[in-house]
Amino acid sequence: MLKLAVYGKGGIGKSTTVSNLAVALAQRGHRVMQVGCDPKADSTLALRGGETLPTVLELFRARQDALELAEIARPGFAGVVCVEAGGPVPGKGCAGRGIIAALECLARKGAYAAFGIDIVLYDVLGDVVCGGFTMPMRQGYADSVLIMTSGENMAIYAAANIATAVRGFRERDYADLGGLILNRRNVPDEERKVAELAREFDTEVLVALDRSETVHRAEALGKCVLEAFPESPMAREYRALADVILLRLGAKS
Amino acid sequence: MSVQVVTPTVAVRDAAFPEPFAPGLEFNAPARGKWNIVHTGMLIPGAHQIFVCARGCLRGVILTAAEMGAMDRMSWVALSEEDLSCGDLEQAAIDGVDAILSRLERLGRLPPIVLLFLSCVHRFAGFDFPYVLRRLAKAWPALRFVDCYMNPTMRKTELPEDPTMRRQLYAALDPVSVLEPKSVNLIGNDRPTFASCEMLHMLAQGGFLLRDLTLCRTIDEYRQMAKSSLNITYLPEALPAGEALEARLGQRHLYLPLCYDSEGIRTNLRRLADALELAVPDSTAAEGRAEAALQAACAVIGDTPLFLDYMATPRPLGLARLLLEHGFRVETVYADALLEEELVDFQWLQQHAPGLLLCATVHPEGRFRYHRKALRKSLAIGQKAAFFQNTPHFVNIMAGGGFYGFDGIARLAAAMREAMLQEKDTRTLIQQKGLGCATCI
Repeated sequence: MLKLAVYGKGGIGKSTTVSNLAVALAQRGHRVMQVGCDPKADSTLALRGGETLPTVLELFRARQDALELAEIARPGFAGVVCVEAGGPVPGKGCAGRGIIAALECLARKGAYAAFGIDIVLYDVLGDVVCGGFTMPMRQGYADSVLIMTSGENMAIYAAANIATAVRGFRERDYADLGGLILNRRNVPDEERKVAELAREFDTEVLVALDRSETVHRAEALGKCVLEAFPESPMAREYRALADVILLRLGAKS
Repeated sequence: MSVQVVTPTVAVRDAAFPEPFAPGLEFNAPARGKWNIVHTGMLIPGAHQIFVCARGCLRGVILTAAEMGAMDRMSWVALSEEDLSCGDLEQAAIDGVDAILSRLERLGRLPPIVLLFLSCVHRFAGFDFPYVLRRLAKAWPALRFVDCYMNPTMRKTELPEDPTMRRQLYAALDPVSVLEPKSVNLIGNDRPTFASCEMLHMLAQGGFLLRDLTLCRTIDEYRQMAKSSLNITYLPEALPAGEALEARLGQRHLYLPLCYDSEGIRTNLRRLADALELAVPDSTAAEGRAEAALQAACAVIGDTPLFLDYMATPRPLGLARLLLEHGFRVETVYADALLEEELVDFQWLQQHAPGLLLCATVHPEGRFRYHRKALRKSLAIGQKAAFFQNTPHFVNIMAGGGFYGFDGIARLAAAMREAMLQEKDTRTLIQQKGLGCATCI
C-alpha cells in the first residue's frame, strides 16, 4: 500500500489537487482512499457532487466503537473511498487531537484492509501547527509527505515549516519528503523560488500545475476536473501528476 | 423494554440490561478493595514501574506503592505545562527514564523489566509510544520495556485500564520455538486460585505443569510462562490477555468463565478436558461437598438478608441465583453494570426473584449511606456491599477470591458461615486498597 500525506498552506489547492489525483490514480486501476484531515471536512466534496460526509469524529462521538466502516467511508467519483476525519467546531476543542482520534479509529477498524485499498491520500490541514497534524507522517500512516506550494512568500514559508518538521522527524522513521508540487499563482520568479526551496530540503519539484479557470468551473459544478472536464488540459496535468507519483514513489508500496 | 433509571436502586424485574443505571454524577465509595494498575504491575517479579505524568496524577499511584511497601520498585517523571505547550513529550519521557535507569544502574539495581506508564496528557497530545520504546530499547538493550497506560479518561470509551494492564502483564514474554504440550498457564488473575478446585486438580492428575503469575517468585519463572501451550482465563477482565498471547505467542486460549451453576462448571471442565485430551473428571463428589457447605451455611445464616457486590465476583447475579436456589435471602446486588454473560441469570432472577434490588455503587446518594448506622443484622459478600450495609458480617473477597468451580462454592459457603459467626473490623479492612496484594492481606 502506498500512503501519501499532502500538506501545504491553507487555500493553496490541496483538496482540489488531491481529489483529482485520487481520481487519476483510481482511473489507472488503483483502489484509492482519500482521507480529509481538516475540521472543515470539505476535502472530498468534489468527489461526491458537493455532498458533505458525516465525519469520523462525529460518528465516533455518537456511536463509539459500534460505528460501522460503511458509515465512515463512502464511495465517491471513480470509486474513490472518501473519509473525513472532522474535528471540533471552530474555536473549541483541539483540532490536532481530533485528527489523532480519527486516524486511530480508522486504523482500529481496519479500514484500509476492509476496502482493499492500495493507495491512501491524506489531505492535511494547512500548516503543522501542533503534534496532532504530524499524525499522518508517523510510522504506520504516510510513507511520504508531498508539499504543495506556489511562489507566494507565505506559501513558501509554510512549505519550509512543513519540510523542517519532516526533516526533524527523520530519526523517528516517520514519512520522508516525497517532493514538492508547484501550484502556480503566476507570481514573479515563481519557478526559481520553489526550485530553491526544493534544493534547500534536498528534494525536487515533482510537477508544476498551471493556474486554470477550469478548476474553478469544475468546483462551481461541485465536481472534480477529471469528472467535469476529463478532456481538458488541466485534467491531463492531474493525470501526469499521478504518473509521476507512481513512477517516483510507487516503489514504496 | 426496560429503561435505565436515575435512582440508586431498581428492582430486577424493572431493570434494563446490562446497564440498569443512567450515567451521571458519580460517587466513589471509600471501599476500594479492587486492585489498581500499580498493584497489578507489581505481580511481575523484579519489574520496575515508571510513571510519566502530572504531579497531581502521581499522588494515587505513589500512595499505592507506599502502602504496598514497594517504593523501591517505582519511579516517576513529573511533567510540567512547558513539556506540553512547547516541549517534546517524547524526549521528556526518554530523558526521564534514562536518568532513572542510570541511577538504578549505579545502585546495582537495574530491573529486568520496566513498565512505562503514560497518562491522559500523552494520549491527548498524540504521544508516539512506539518511537519512545524503540529508543529506550536501543539505549538499554538488556532491559525489556512494556507500554502501560494510566488513562482514566478512556475508562468508558476504549479498553479500560484494568484489562489493558492485565494484558500488558504478559507483553514481556518472548516467543519460544517449541511450546510445551504439558504446560498450562492460568492468566489474568491477581490472586492464586485454590489448588483444590476441580480444574487445577484435573490438570495435576493429567501431569500438566501449571504456571500462574500470581505464584511466580522470580523473573525466570515469569519468562517460563512463554513456554506453555495453553492459557486459561476465567475472569472477563483477563480475556484481552488471552487473546493477545494467542495472537503473539501462538498459545491457545481457553476462556472458562467463573460461574456458579452446575452446568456451567461442568461445561468448563468438559471444554478443558477436550482441549487437553483428558478424561472428563467425575465432579459428583465435589458438587456434593458444595451442596453440603451451602446447607451448613444456610443453617447458620437463616433469614439474615444477604447483600452482594460486583467487586467480590464478576458474576454477582449468578451467585445471587445460586444462593436463592439454596434458601438464602438475597436482598440486594450492588452493581453499576452487569456482564453480558449474566443474561441468563438476570432473566431467571426477573422470573423467580423479581423484587431483588440492584443498587448502584456510584450513585451520589451512596455518599449519605456511609454515615448511616446498620439498621439490622445483615451479611455482605464483598467490601462495597459491607461498606454500604455498614455490617461487621462480611466475606472479604475480591475478583472471585480465588474460589473456582464446586470447590470454590464450598469455600465461599464456608466463608459466609464464618462471616456470620465472626464479626470483622469492617472499617479497618476496607480502607486499605488492593485486597490480597503483597502487603494488604
